[in-house]
Amino acid sequence: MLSHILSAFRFDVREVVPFCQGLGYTPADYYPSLLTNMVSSLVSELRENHLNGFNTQRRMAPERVASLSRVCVPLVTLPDFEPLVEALLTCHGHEPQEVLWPEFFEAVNEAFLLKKISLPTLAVVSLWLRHLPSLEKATLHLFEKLLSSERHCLQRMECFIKDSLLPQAACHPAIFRIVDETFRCALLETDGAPEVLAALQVFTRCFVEALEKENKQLKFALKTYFPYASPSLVMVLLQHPKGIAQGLCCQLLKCISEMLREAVEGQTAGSHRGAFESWFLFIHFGGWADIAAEQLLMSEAEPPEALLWLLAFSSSPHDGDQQRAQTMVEVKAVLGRLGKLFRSPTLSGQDLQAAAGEGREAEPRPLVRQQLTRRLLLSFLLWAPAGHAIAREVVTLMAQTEDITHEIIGFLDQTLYRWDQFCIEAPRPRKVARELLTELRAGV
Amino acid sequence: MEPLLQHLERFSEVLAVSRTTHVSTWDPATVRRALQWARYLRHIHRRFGRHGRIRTALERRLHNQWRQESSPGPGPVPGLTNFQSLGRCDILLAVRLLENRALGDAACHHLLHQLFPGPGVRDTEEETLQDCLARLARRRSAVHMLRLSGYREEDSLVKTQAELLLERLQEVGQAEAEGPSRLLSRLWERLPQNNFLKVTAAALLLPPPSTRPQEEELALGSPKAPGRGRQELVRWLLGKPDIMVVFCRSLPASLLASVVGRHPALSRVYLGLLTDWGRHLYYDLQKGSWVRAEPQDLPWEELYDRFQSLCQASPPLKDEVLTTLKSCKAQDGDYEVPGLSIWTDLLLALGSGT
Repeated sequence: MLSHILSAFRFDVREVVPFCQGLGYTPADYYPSLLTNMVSSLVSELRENHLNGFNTQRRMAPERVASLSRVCVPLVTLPDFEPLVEALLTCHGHEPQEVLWPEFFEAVNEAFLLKKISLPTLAVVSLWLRHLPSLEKATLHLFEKLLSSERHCLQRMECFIKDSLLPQAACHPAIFRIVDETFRCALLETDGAPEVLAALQVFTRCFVEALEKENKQLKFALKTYFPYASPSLVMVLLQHPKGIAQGLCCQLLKCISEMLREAVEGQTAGSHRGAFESWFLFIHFGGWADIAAEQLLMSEAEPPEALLWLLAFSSSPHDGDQQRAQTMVEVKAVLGRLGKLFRSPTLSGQDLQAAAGEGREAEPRPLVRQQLTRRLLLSFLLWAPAGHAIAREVVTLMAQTEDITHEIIGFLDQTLYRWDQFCIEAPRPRKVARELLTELRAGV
Repeated sequence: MEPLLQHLERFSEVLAVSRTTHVSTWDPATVRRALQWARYLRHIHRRFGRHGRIRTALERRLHNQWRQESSPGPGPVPGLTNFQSLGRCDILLAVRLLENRALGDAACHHLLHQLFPGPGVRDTEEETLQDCLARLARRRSAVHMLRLSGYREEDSLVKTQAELLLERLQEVGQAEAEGPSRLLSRLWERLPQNNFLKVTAAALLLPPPSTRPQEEELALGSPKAPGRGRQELVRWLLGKPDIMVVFCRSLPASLLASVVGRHPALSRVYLGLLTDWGRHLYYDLQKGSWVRAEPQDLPWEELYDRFQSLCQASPPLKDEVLTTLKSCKAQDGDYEVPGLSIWTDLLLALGSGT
């Protein structure tokens, strides 16, 4: 490396040396300027290409552009080269096929992922649109980050996701489909791991935000993003629950439930794939399931069939009709018992245990139903006026295994995140949730 | 005060020597000492940056080297030209030594070891030096890579030299009124004239600096008066009729047209020269064209070219040119027939627009 440095110092641009020396300038003075000017000159040649296409003397021939991209490969991390890298990425010639060298895309992508170069979003998106392996690498890089270190902290997940520029890039349907496919595979491989679910939800949230911002320019039909879903369902799911009145919320949920049920149990009845696809679509917007649970808990009326179905479906998409019906019955029972306790001025741990149906059956209940019950219980603790007093006690009882503890932490984190996103006030439930979360995290 | 100035003198000598083959006699100890001196001066810079008296004294001594009109020696030490430059004299020294192939192996190793000590606790000053050197090395390599790959961008070379020229002129002009002219005259004597003229023309055409971010290395520390350097350049050119002749003869017609379009003072001189040169041509009846009397005169084609370029400029200049041509034509007798007055023929050839 040192001999490289030496050789760097021993070459000089002969034409300028006498002049600069005569002026009293050293290489340390003129090289930066020279490099900047050379880069500017190349950038304007490229832009001429882009704007005028034909008929300009300064137009850069495609071969020249190609070899320039090759020369730049070792230089992409030099800050002076950023304008040139940007220009190469965003200025398309008029050739039908790709002109730039793949090594160039790789080098830029690598530098971008390692944060050694800062590029405008447009340039990065252009990079990914032109070079698929870079997009794949960037997606996997994000996944690694999300799933390794940031379990159970959706705020930080959101930061990483936004930083990666993938949500903004995903406004291009082609990019969205690739990222979505990666999520789909991850879910299938991990059998629906909660971290992956959470990451998908946060990603979708960021994506929708980016889409709304971009809406003035790019207007792709929803079908291009979600080709397997009915557009009306997607429209409803995209609604932002913030600021929707209570009653309307319930209506929307019923609507979603009906449409999903139609897709799952309708013409494509028995089709495994149909159920999975519908479920996959739904959990992009996972907040709705949690809202359904809260609605059911807090309403004093008879729990609507549609919402029960929604809860059951979202927890366990592969159930047969009978199993799901069973689940719905049980959830209804739990809700009934909890509902009676909701307005009680005082509660005890045993009351809740009884309500949850602990110890009623000889054999352990299916995992899914246990999880559902836990979720309802936790929601109850957060929302019931007397819940916060016994929250700690009950949670301690619930958190029997490490897995369950993680599950509870995940649920609390997700709930807090959702309340932030949807601007739900609820000061007391928040406080309770935060305290519980802090304590559980410390214990793990 | 005096020891400080002496120290400065001695270091300037060291810097001057560091480029010569004399360094082959340097051993590691000498290298170490030289770097220490550099660091000391940098420390001085930091300490006395705000101290009026010391700073002024040092600055005056450094500017002295620009005052020597006809110095037979190699000229002032590049880089050590103002107080600001003391802040990076270690970089100056390091770069000069790194560039010098005559430096012995032992001394070179020691130098590299001093500059790039490797992992371990480093004080922040060392780090800045190392970062600067590494950055400079990368940029230099980048320039050479581009040029070697065929992206020579000759325009950028000229433009860079032009920018540097204007900066130096402005700085020197602020220190002393006659500084710029002296500097330009000296450059004219020493440097290849063709390049110098090209750079001068480019400098005259540079857009006025808006809010260009200053390079860290080029910290001149003085507020920029936009166009000041250009004014000095024009003033100098106007004061040197011989040089002006060469300027107007050697540079391409279109370039000259742009330059004088920006600087009306120069356009008058240019037009004067053109009319003068025009008068040296006579009409050869046999050939049926305007020929030159002496071989060093400007031929008809070039004269026409120049006038054509001028007429493609925008109104103030274009009108001035046409007015001049018409008045010359009138002086000659206002002929409409070709072959009698060169001005008539020029106007005819220039065609529309008259």
